[in-house]
Amino acid sequence: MKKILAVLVALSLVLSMTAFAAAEETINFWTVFTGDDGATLQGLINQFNEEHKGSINVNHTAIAAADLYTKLPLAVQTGEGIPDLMIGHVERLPKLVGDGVLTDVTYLLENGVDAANYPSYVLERTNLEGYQYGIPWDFNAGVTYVNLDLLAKYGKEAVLDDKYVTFDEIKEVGEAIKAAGEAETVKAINYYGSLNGYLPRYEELGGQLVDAEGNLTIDAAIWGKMIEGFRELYQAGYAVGQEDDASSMFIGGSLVFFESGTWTNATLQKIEGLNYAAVAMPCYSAETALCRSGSHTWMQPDNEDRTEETDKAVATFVDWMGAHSLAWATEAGQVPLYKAVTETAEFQALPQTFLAEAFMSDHIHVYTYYHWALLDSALSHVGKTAIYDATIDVNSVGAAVQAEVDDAIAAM
Amino acid sequence: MKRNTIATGLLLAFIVSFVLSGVTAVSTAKDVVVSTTVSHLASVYSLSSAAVLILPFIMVFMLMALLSFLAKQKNVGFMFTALSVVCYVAFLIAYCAETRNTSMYNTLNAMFQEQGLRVKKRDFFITVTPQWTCYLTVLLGLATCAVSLPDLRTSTTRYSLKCELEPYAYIAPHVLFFTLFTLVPIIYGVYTAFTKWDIYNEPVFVGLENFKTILFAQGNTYYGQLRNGLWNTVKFVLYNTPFGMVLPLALAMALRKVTRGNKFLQSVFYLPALMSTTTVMLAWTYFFRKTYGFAPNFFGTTFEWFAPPYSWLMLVIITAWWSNGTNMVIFQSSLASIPEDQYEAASIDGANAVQKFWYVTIPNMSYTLMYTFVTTVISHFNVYGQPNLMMGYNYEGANAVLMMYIKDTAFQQGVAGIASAMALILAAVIMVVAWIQLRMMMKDSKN
Repeated sequence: MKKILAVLVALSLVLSMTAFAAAEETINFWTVFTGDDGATLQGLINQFNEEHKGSINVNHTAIAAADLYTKLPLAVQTGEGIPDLMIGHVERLPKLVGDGVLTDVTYLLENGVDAANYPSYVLERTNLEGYQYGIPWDFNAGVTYVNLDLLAKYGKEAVLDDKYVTFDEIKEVGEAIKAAGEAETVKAINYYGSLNGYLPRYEELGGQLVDAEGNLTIDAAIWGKMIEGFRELYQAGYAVGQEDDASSMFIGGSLVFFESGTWTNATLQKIEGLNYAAVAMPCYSAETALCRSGSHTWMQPDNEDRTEETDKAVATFVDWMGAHSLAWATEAGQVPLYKAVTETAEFQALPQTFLAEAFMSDHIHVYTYYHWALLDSALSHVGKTAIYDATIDVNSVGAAVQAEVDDAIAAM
Repeated sequence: MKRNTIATGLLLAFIVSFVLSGVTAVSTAKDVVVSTTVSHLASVYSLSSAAVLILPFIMVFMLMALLSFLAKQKNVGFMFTALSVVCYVAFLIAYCAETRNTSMYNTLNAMFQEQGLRVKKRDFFITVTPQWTCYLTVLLGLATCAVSLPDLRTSTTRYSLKCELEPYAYIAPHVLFFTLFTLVPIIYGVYTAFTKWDIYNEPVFVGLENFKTILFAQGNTYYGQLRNGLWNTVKFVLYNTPFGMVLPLALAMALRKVTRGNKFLQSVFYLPALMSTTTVMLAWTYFFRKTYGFAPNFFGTTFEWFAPPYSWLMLVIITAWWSNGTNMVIFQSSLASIPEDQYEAASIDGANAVQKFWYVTIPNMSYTLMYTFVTTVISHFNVYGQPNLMMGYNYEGANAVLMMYIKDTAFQQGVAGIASAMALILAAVIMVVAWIQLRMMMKDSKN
């Protein structure tokens, strides 16, 4: 009898444990954060898991962006290993929606995630045909870092007064470096190239990137004018060469303006003695200035097997992460977009967070061109060589990008 | 009529019925019913679910069964027919259980959209039912099995059956993995070259269009990329192969002479081969880069090591440093197997060191040299990591090799048809070069 009682007690214990375990919702979560920022994110997730022990457990997998965008549609196609939630790039969203990979996040917005906590001009970029497909996590933008000590050394602190740096001001700094006899070792600017470097300047010069039908329409002459401008600065000796390592030069104190992105800030803020500020990418004038920004965005892959309970847990997690995203700014050097966080003094004191300030909202372009991956690839193929090699026809660069995207679409 | 002949006829009917069979997919939304028929052959290339991966196996088993019956191997034919029937039934069950097959979803969703309906994928359910021909196919397969069923009543026939089938049991694991991980991907890869495919949606057969584009469409981006990529790949092979053969041979011969520290030096020379391309490229880039690089600062070099034409020199140095260890070890083992008395005999005949090398060492190593020469050339044709990590597409793609363009086109852009066509051309070039190498060396060895 005792044995039977013991078995029954053990059985009831096991069953209660099973019931307890079943109550815990596991969220399979993919992100593109494989670097130092991934460690900060994991720290937040660990804190969330600790606070929600027994009810929600987030299982985070960081995957390199290129791999994630290959794996994700295949997972959705086969129905195997589909994540419940992911953070991806906003630029990729239209194609993912077009391929039927994503589902809309209406359920999350109705069950714990408040759209009012996020900037509407970013939210609206992920609203396609009346359906909300994404919730912004942060700005992922091109940024120019400024070595304040060097700027003071050459007496050019005034260039930062209006929060924008123009190419004319960069020339001034370049001249000041020359006048100090340091032009051989110290440079004024580098070129980031790629999407962040080219697109805002092309549009600032009056170029149209995408027409009303969503087709890429690069004007080769305007693109050429942009390249010509970069080339002039290089030929005048103000800009670093193609083989120079701008990052090392900036850290080493031999580069005044360092074009890069929000992702570099985590590294820079760890360097002791580096006195720097962050501003938007250099522009032609403060009035017309533009800044290309992406946004790491919460998205949900389509999955018929995901339950409402899991979606509720996802909503709790997304909102919690937003409310605790200050560490994403202070530790990872990024620009989270949860309003309550962006309004704190601690957030606003950080160099990169000017991107979330109200004055920037008119200047930031969040691109969502359908064939973004093709444009990105075509830009990487033309590279930056035309800036440094005077034998290359500047008008051929934009034409090559347009041709490659057109050829790729025709072959898809 | 003999049972083998009847079985062959039934098997052919089984195959024909399979080819003509398909499933019907139906979906309903807001009282609108749409349906489509998907043949098994179309399913093979839809890549729309894990279940379709069973189809190549069914076809391989059918082919093996047919060959067995034609070779009068009735028992073996029975085995393969039975396997194909089992796989076919498994495929039907798995495929019809899918409620949201992507390939069918795309077709049916387009039909809904034509009728002005927008149905979200999560509300989209598909009912899949086999056509009557599917049941006929299964019956024909079973009939083939019944006719070819071995007689197991006597121990003699049981023993002969065991002898006949046993070899297949031995090779089965290899054939299974070879089919799954080599044969099927090759078939899909070749087929992809004849399609327009964005990796996610269903491929569309376009015949030779991709080849026409990359081979003849002057002005097209991919025409330029194939030419530039292939020419840079050939240059990489031409520049690197001599060093990839001569240096390891020299190191192996030198180590043979070194008696003290031989193993230590062997480990040192082999060590780079254990490193990943990324590690190797990072180390060399930090060493030679213009900004704060060791070489420019220590030796005072002013030119850019990673810009053409020096970039080719860097590629040769780095590749030689990284990969020489592998060939060196092969050469060492080959050198060790040369009988010492041949050298002694040559010495008695008055041969000097050079003569010994040409008339004793080289002839004894001919097969090893042939093998390493062919494998080194093939591996160099497949170069990707070094030029990609060193300078990517900079300098107008001066060092961009074909594998870089293939990878980008397929996975970055999602233009898999063109990428596969480029890959097939690279494979054809490698095969032709390897064939010429082997022909030349076989001729030499015969002489």
